[in-house]
Amino acid sequence: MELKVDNSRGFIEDNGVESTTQARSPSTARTQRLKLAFMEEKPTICAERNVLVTRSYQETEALQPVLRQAMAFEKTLDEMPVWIRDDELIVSNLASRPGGSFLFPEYDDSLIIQELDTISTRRVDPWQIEEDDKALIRSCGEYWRGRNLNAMADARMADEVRQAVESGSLFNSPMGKMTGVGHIAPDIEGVIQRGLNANIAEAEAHIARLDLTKPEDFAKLPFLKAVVITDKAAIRWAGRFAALAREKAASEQDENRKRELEEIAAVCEWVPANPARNFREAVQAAAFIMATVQIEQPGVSISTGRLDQYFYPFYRKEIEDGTMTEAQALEMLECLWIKLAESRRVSPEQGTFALNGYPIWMALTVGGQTGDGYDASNDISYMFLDVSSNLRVHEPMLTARIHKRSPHKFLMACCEANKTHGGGLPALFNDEPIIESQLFHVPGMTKEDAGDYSIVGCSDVVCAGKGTEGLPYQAISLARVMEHMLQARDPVSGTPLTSGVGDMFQWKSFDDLMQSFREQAQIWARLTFLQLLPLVELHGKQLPCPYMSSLMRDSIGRARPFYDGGAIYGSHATLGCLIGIGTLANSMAAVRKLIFDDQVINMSQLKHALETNFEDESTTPSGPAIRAMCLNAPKYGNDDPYVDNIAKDCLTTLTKEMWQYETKPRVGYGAVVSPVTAHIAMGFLSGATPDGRKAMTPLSDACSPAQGTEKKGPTAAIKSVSHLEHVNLSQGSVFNMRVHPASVQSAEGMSSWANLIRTYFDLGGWELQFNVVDAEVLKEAQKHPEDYKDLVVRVVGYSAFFVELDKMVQDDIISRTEFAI
Amino acid sequence: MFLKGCPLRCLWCSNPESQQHVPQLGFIASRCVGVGGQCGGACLSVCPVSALHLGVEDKPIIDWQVCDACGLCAQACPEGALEVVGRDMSVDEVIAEVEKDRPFYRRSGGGVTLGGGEPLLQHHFTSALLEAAHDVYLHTALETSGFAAWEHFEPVLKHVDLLQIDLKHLDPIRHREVTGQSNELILENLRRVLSVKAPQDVIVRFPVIPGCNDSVEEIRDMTEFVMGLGFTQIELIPYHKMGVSKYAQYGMAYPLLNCESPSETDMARLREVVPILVG
Repeated sequence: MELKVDNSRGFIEDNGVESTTQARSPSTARTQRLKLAFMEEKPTICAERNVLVTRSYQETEALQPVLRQAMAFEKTLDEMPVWIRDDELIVSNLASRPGGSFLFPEYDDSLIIQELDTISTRRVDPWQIEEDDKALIRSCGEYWRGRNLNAMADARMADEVRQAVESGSLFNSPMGKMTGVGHIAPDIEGVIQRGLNANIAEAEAHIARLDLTKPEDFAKLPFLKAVVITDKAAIRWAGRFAALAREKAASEQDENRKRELEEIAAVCEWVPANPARNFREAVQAAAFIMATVQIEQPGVSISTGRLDQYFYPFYRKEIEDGTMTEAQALEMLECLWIKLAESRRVSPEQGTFALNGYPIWMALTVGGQTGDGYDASNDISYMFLDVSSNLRVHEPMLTARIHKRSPHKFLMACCEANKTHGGGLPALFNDEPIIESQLFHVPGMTKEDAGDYSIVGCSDVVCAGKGTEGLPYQAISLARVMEHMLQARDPVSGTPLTSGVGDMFQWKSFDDLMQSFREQAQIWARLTFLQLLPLVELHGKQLPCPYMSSLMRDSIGRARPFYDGGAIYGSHATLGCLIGIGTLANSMAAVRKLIFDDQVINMSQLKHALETNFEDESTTPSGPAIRAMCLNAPKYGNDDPYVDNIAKDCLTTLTKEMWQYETKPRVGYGAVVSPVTAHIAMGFLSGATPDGRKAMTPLSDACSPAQGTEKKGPTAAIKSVSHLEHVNLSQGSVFNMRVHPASVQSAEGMSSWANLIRTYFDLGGWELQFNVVDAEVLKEAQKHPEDYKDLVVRVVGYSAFFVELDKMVQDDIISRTEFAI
Repeated sequence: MFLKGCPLRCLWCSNPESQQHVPQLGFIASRCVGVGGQCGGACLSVCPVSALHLGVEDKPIIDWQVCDACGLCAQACPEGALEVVGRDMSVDEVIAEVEKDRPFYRRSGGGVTLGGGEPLLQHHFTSALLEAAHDVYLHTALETSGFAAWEHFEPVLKHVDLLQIDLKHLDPIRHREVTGQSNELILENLRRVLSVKAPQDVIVRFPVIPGCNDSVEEIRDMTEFVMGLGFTQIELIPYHKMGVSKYAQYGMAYPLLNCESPSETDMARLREVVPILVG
């Protein structure tokens, strides 16, 4: 792409790709240069955090876990190098150099340590690393062996879970064992309005109130001290940026830049310690908070909350006072956006298989309604839509809330942004069922706070700064459940799994099939919950994240870590991610149709066909012929109750099984249907299924119909998907639609598109996301990745650069049915 | 909702599968992976009348004279490359199908649109269907060539909220050349329509077909004729090639070779002579 910079105006013309939609680029020469620098930097692993954290933990072995974590955080912020890049107005950094990221040995980095020599050349999500850094990371690794969170979790595993993991029927998920507490949004609004000094004052006042002679008060001391340590450390960290800016200003020749650097210094000396006084300080405070919370711990989907709501009062005041122009505000937001995009997370290779494209799922929410029911879309909401289209990077994930009274203009702006962005941003969320779901699932949730929700992941929602959600995810592969149903015993170990209706040969009718599913649902809900339970204790007590807790009401008031009862709303402590609902429903429908209704084949024939992957041509009917029958059986996604009811009943059965488990009263096991790319990984581990799916191919993604099986167009697909009880899912569902760009060229096409969205939401759908990219363009990008470096696509619940994805994920996206609207 | 069967054979027809009034087999060659693929040539072996033979690229060729559209091959094909178009449906079945999309009509203001083919060929059914749609408060629209006896047409019109009726040419001879039928019946029906429908509920549509009716004079004459009868809405529909690939799927040959869609300039010139343009 060739860029022409018109210096006279400071704006840029993008003479790049011939596109049917207008190509967009960052709004100023500055942000254009910042984006180019960002695109060119190679993701690099830095060893500094490993060294600092390990040294700190070695020095603090006698202390309580919460203080040890606080002091490791403090040491990292005090000693890890900081940098400011040319052109930057908003500063902060994750690691010691641009493009850098780091590891979390206290959680577990042993898998990555094993891969250090190959990580720079691996196919998916490679990382550069210098030899010196490798050596440092390896030597730190010695200390952590047997001491990290993952080791503690494994040591606490229940016997039945261990057996299931060893037999291979249960996946020993690294989520929550090597990762931290994610799916949360820190209280950025609080920091903007009150500053971190207010937190420190509150914690110190609480300490002063304690009667240390009482054991319960004495026990509160370490946490409150940890809060003071971490928040002071964050303020000092901002001060280091101020000092660096002053130092750079002193030697800067360019008068403009010199002034800018002095402004940066002044801003960083004030926030995040104190309340923001203007728009720029509010934006800078948000950047600092988002970086520091990611330095403390490796939670995924740590999100920004509703930045349009937090920034707008400052914006309006400055526009009214004439102290800032709209263009300046837009540039500031673009600077912030690039800062947020710099966050990348290092995954071991097995992780990249399920989570591909360096994702961190940092959701940024715009639009929706206020807690008291007013429409909340404002100028900043629209500006963020522009920023996302202008910059076209994969993070943060822009998400827009739509409600029944959302202005048509806002919905159309979201569609327009999807069209220009192409890569699924913003994803759209439906306020009504989401608010209802929170009131239903979250203990003590008020209507005001439910209405103020933020998106914190693919489909997950919380009240920012007040609520915490399930952090450890456990994936439940519904294809594996289907295999267990058919055989009624573990396919690997041969252990019988049920005592009820037995295996497929004992089923007399479809009712037996459903009964078998109910039995499996009990087994899997119990097993996966047991698998997650040790993590609840570990994240609450061993690595309780005092800094994040200080950014979560009412942790300081209660003197408890946010995940251990500090947050006002603790809903589901753990989450089960249900993968392949389309595959499961289609499989059960095929068995019902072919074996019980039409009686064209029997169970032995089906079993043999599945075992031979539909490839045995010596049988009558042949394997391929049986597969054809299976493929022709009713398929979820075509508004056919025969199969849609099965999908609905299975999902309801499983979610109800999960609800009965509680970690504390009414804080239990929530469900979500958004598998990131795990449907591909899980599919790879599964044999052929009765829906005609061949072995080792992807399962259906999220709650979308299985790839290519929706034959009756977008309205039927929408009817099927909305037939599910989305409200039963405490953390929602993701529905992917691929839209052909030509079909939304005209005003009429755009209006049909908006009608489709409104109807899906009328029917109670949770979330809807789009890829507005031609299949041919995607195939072309596979062939010539060098020409499509900034082609962003929606994967599942997140966006990524297409060319950075694994080939299997790319193929999966191409195989999704493309709708002409 | 498309009703199969049409008395006309317009050269530019974009729904060739709707011309015959019986179900037909279609073969979408691009979906076929060849009999060497996983299907093992199931379509060839299941055909009870041996209408499928092995052709080039390992794909079946269909003897259209022999095929009776029983659909066994379509059931056997795992790729969806063979499909039967058209099936017998009762009024209740059609209404049930239409009802499925009711949530969308609330947003889009849509309803039932009958097209084809020529729905008036099955005028009893069409009338009953539109009446049933009205019974459940659905908006109804009818797309017709106008080629039907008035005594068949008039009872249907009672249940039509929006009538979209074509006019292809004023000259009976030219009309027969390009559609296979003369236009007297159509012109006569146009003269009568406004005796039972209000002008705002009728759109007269001119397909603009290069070389058939796309001169300024032809369009102007047609416009004057239509306006003379009191109609107030005309829509120009430019020729398009969206249906071309379907001909081969049904063993048919596309009759209008080397015809290009009218340019935007051509269309703009024609629109100028139509003062009551809609759409």
